[in-house]
Amino acid sequence: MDILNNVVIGFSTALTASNIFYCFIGVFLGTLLGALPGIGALAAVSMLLPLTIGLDATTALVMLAGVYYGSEYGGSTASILLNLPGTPTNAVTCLDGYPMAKKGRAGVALFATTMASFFGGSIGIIALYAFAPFLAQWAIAFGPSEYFSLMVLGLVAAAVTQDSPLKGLAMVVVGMLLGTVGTDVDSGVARYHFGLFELRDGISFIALAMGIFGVSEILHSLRDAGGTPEVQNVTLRSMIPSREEWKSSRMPTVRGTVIGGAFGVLPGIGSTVATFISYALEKRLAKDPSRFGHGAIEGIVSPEAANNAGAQTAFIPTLSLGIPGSATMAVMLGTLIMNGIAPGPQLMMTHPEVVWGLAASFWVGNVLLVILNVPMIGLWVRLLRVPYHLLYPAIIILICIGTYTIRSSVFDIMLVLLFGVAGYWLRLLRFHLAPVLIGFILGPMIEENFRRAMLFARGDFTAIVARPLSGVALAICVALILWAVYRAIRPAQPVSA
Amino acid sequence: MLKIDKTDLLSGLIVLAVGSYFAYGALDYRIGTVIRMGPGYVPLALGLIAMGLGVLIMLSSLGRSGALESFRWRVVLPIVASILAFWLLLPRVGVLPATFVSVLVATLASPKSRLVPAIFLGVIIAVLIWACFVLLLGLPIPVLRSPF
Repeated sequence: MDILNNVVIGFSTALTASNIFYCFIGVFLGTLLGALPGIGALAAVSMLLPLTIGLDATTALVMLAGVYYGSEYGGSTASILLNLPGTPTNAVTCLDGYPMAKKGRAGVALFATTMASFFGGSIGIIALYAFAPFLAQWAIAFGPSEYFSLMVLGLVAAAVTQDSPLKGLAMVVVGMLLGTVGTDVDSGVARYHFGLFELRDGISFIALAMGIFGVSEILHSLRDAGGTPEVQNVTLRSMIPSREEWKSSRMPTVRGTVIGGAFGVLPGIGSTVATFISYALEKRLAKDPSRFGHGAIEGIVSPEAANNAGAQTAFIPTLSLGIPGSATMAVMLGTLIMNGIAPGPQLMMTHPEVVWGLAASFWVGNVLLVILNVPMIGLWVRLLRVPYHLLYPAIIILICIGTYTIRSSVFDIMLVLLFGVAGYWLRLLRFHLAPVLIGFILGPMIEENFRRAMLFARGDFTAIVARPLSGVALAICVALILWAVYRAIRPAQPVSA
Repeated sequence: MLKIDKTDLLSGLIVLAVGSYFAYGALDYRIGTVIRMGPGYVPLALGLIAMGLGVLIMLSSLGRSGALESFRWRVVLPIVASILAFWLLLPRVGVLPATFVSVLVATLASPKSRLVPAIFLGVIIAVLIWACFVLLLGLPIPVLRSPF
């Protein structure tokens, strides 16, 4: 049985002492950073990336994956206790989590989200083991046309799920343009290097990520930094849910897992949309929808389960096709490439220990999260009490030194500054920045596949459309774009949340 | 009076400008044909798409009103100066003084910062950074250097 074999390979890799250790470090630091206001999973992963230099590829990814879901978890803690979502995915948790905390049920809310996350995450991992090999097997037969179309679909999907699809598309294209900086693989011509030697290798994607997610985030948080937050005490005893709460959170957890798992697989869409959908679904199914927004436990467990199931299934396209489902996945792929491993469907054949070890470590990480968070909740609560004006200078230094150590390059610190200020400005203009990074990572791959596909097809674009899979993918793209344009020029829009 | 969403008008202009810059720059490289694309082909195409999107965003700003959010230079400038200081000092005097100065400058961005706690904060962060990155991880970072 292949799957069983993969599980064995995976756990024998994940359960080595050093991998468990780095997984623990990752989960711990991820929760720590995720609990800080204004630091989402993406910023946490890019900030801690330098710590993985010198580790072997599997261990580095294991640690970063730990950071990833640790920060998702920390973000939900901040949402519940402070009404401050660390990431858009946690925004939904605020809706009912914070009212629960105000009613004195913060402990229960935290415990319920931990359990829902664990359940969602575990099912997501099983889905990863079950489906990724099939997808990869199927993808071996893909040519450049298929890759081109699927990546374009991923980009378009990432763009149009934003609240302003046109601006999302624009950010994707800007990201792709930034991706063209540097030496062209085909001709060896250095493009847009401004005469700077450092730019001939292209823009460092860490500098870009740290700038647009780290520095711009700090600037944005400082804009509306309020007083020292009031955080209530959470004791272990207060975390025990009542029989009623236990019962009413079971089915929503399962439903959230299914929704999150399904949406997480789609490239570019990611778990944010899934959390909103699962919240809306619970509200519709509830006998008394008016409780929502006033501390309904269904309203936190379902999105949290969706979020974590999606966080795991997002690795399916990332690991089996080499197409990142979200900006965070793009950073993960970047880490693989930095370690000299080419992502793509052949990855499972050439490096099974990386793929399956990583998948198994997800589960180890989820167990660690439960162990870490239930007894240590007091620590995170205390952390949330540290005023922001003592935290942000440290975060700035971490960003600078982190960027510097990746290539030992002071030039990259300058890039961080540039992208940070530009990102802050774009954010004020209500642009979303995650599509920039997705475009930046996928752009060069799209260019390469497009050029190859057109060479094979002798310049005939219809040859790409004629292949069934890429034809369907491109048709969906066109439909999404038309819908986006329609939404943008349609007069009088209601303001969306 | 014509209603314009200033945020989206400016957004469109920026996208248009970035697109034109790259499209114009692409003309310096060989464009090639569809079959054998040169290094300029894809940047030119992307630049043109960005220009089109910029125009569409500007069009979408017509007919509804909206104001720009203020840039808040008082927050932005200290952070910029702080990163600049780090960039300037790290290779010249090492990570300890660079971190200290950079933290001090960064605290200017928040009205809640006071001088004495800021100095303590600078020392603590500098030592922690050194302990974590140099002592523990052994990364090749200059620690303390004479600028002369």
